[in-house]
Amino acid sequence: MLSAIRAERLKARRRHDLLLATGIALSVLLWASNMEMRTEDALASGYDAMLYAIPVMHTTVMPLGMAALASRLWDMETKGRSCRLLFTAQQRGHLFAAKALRLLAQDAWIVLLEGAGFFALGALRGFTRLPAAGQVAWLLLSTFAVNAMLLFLQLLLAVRSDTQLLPLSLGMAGSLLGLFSAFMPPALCFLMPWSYYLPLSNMAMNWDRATRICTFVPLAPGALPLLLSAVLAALFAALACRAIGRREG
Amino acid sequence: MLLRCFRAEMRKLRGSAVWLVFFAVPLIPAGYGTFNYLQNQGILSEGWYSLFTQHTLFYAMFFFAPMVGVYAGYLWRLEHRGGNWNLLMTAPVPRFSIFAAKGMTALALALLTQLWVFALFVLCGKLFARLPGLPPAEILLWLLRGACGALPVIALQLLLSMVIRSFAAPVLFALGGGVAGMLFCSRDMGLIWPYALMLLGMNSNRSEDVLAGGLFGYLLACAGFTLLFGLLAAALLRRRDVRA
Repeated sequence: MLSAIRAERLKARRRHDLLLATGIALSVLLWASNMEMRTEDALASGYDAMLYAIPVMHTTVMPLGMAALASRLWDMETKGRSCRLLFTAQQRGHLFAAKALRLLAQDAWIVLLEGAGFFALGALRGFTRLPAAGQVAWLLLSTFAVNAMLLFLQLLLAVRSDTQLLPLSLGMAGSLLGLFSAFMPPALCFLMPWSYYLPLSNMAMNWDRATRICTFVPLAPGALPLLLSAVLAALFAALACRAIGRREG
Repeated sequence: MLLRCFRAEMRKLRGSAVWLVFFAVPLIPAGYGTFNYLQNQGILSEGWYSLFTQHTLFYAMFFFAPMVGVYAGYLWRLEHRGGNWNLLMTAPVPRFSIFAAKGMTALALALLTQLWVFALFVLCGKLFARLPGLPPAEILLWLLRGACGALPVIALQLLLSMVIRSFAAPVLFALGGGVAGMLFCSRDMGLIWPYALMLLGMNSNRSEDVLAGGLFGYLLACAGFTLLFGLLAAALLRRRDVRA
């Protein structure tokens, strides 16, 4: 198993996977930096506004981002025609586990960067009231869980596809569907794994049309969607492992 | 020679799954846009114009560039596999013709996508939103302008997919470019960022024309970026060689 992990690390040399993962996190932060906050009230609720908006940004950026990361990780075997060699040189389960660890490490890197960037953005823009640590931790945990689910789903599709065209396109369609589900009835989100960032959001917004003032209301963490994400992640991981096990060299 | 290369590129697309992407992805913003329009008719009161913004806002802002990225990535992916790159480098055709032919193919796909988006827009407007008459000719012009804005995106994505052998990375870059494009547009600096030109041309975020009086600058930016990326590709292709 350790040798499989080491092999994956060696294969990742000069592939700039971390750079891509960094780009994904930076895209979200760049978008978040564009939020209009000028008044004192807006600066006081700046972190709340970000806690509300970031899950919507995730539904747009992450599905395609995760599709790209998973696709690249498997595509190197397809393009290098190394499957036959790998399947005879190491256990398929180990190959899957090493790739899964690699993907989870990239996921963790994205979440860590976002966490750091979240506070850096707040400090840079002069937000005056710090958010509750639990709320930020929940945002990061839920992002990690949904990302992991999407990574395993995309790995499953990548293993089953030689061209990578369909997995990537599904990621793109997922991004579109995820974004649109933000404006649809909440129950619809549960039908689309790409939009699970939304039911996991722990901040709601009330907009008073008369005064044109937004207020943010903390929500209780949604344990059910998190559980569902974890179950789906485990299911997709098991299916991806099976797909690697059954794949022809 | 260029036409022959173009024909060869089109032949590679026969029976390809890229058509599925072309057909299926625009269905999503069309479905959502119509639904959102019907739900918010109190605010969206400008008929065809309002429906157009709902259909094309997110498509032009975030998803057109990745879609072109998929087209471009697919066209180059075939060349990056096996020994195809060496075949390409030793083919008796000017190297830039290959790039230009791929550009023409991607442009054909992008134009067809724009037409498909327009057809869906008219269909949804008549069938579901029950809008009177036909869409204003201005909207067709916006779609054409959007196609002009697609040129630099196509050139850049082809360049990226030529240089980066991974299929996925340039697509991701396009998404990042789209996000940055939204920021450039919000600061009225869309003309200096290639990924923002499509959004500006399509006029997807406003009912009034954002390019009123500025069409020349817009077309100049489109042409300038396309030329820049084309020249860069030509220079890179001149220096590339077979991979032993």
